[in-house]
Amino acid sequence: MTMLTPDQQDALQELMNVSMGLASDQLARFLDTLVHLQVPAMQVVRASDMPAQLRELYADKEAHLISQGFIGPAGMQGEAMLLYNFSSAKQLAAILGYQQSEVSDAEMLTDISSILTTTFLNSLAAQLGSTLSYSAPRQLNCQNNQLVERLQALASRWNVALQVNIQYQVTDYAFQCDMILLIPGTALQTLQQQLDDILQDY
Amino acid sequence: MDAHWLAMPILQQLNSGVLVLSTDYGISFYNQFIERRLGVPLAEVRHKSVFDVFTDLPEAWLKRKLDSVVALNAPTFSSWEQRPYVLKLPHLRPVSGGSDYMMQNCSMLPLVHPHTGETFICLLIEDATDVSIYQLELQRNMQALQQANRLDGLTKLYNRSYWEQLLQSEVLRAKRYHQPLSLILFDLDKFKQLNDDYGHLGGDFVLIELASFIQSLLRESDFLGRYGGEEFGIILPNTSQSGANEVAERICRQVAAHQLLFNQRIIRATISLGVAELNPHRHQEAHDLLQCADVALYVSKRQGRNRSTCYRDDLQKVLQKVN
Repeated sequence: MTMLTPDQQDALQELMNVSMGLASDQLARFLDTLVHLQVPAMQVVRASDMPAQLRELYADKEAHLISQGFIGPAGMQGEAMLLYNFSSAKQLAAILGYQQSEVSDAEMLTDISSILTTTFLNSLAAQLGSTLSYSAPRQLNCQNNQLVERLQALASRWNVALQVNIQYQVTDYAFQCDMILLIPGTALQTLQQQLDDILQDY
Repeated sequence: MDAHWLAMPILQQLNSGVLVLSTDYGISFYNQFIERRLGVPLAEVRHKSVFDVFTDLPEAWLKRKLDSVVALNAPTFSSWEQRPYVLKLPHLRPVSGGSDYMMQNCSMLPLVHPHTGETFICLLIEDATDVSIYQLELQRNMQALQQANRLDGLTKLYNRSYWEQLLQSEVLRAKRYHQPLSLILFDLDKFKQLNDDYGHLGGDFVLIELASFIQSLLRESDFLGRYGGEEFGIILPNTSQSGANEVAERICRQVAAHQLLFNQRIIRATISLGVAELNPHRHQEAHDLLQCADVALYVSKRQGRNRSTCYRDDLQKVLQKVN
């Protein structure tokens, strides 16, 4: 299986940094507060290795897993997953500007995930000269130890995982989540082609 | 073929709702799917605020959603599982539908006018009523299945595996909250003789009748389960050994006095019982408590049946003497 070359990986990391900057700018304007997103730590891994890497991180914790599919031209497609390890999503209400009583935890989680995923991926796609469409985000049931099983089942369908750790800080409130972009081999080839095109221009 | 003419007829006949709003929530367009269900022609409400046309919209929530579509130039979604519907519309299965209104999945997408550059928000409404009904049925079936999985087929008491789970969690609870917990194990006396005298149907009949009779003598908080062939167990939360002993003595007397009528013949059955209280220091696990109750039950059997025995440390010696 082909993985990214060091050059491609560097280029992708750079594009992600720019995308994250654009996304945080958009978020800040929407949330009307300062949003600080750290430079994402990115890792390209075989999808089959991913569950083991996350097992420790999310062991013994109540984790939430939100999945959202995306598709673009030329075979670009994949699944974005956001992992949170807090037990209550109530704090998110303040960030999203909702009254706590009017939305459920599940709705807040899917909402914040959708916002994070689409703003980031839209920016990334724009850098690559493309656009993406999205499916509705879904919360996957992964209570207790089911998370790793769940990831294993997902990983078996995809070849490569881009694991991106994102830390958000919104003025007084910080939270952390992992974004995992799972993409199949064909989409990886498309991505590699797009990265090579960009690298050629330099 | 010039495909442009296709857009409008397909938009009108699409089996999904399409509602287009301006950034100040005015209605710009809705398709036939919405028009027919709402019962109001588009021309009558064009440019009116969506909140004046559709009653019961969650205004603060929807405004926040719509604003995010415009501010982030990114789609946002609403699922029936979290919010049954966004637009209150009827569904087309009024008889078999179950719910009163159409369950909806809604995607809210940013649209930019190709000439003026003006931004609009498109709400795509999918009817999820069928899915929600299947989901509901599935949940009901799962519950029924789970229930069936916990019960013993013959007596309808809790089966061994579920009863043992209950015992384990009650032991943990009693230890955590420093509350007493007692256990009664009992055995139907001379069950083999009953089967020989009345046939297996007679034996089964006795098991079923005694199960429901004994259940009627217990508190709601006690858990009666079938432990083995003719062996049963009762978990008594928040009960000391002396309290459990009273219960055991009463059950023993009442069972012996209870007449069972099977095929015009009266069957008298008796039971032997063993009582033990959880000792949080000596009983590490549920199994240790079970073993104590089992020793007490064994002594009841050895001493002539139709009686109840409380566990004591010297019971092992009593057993040795009998042997």
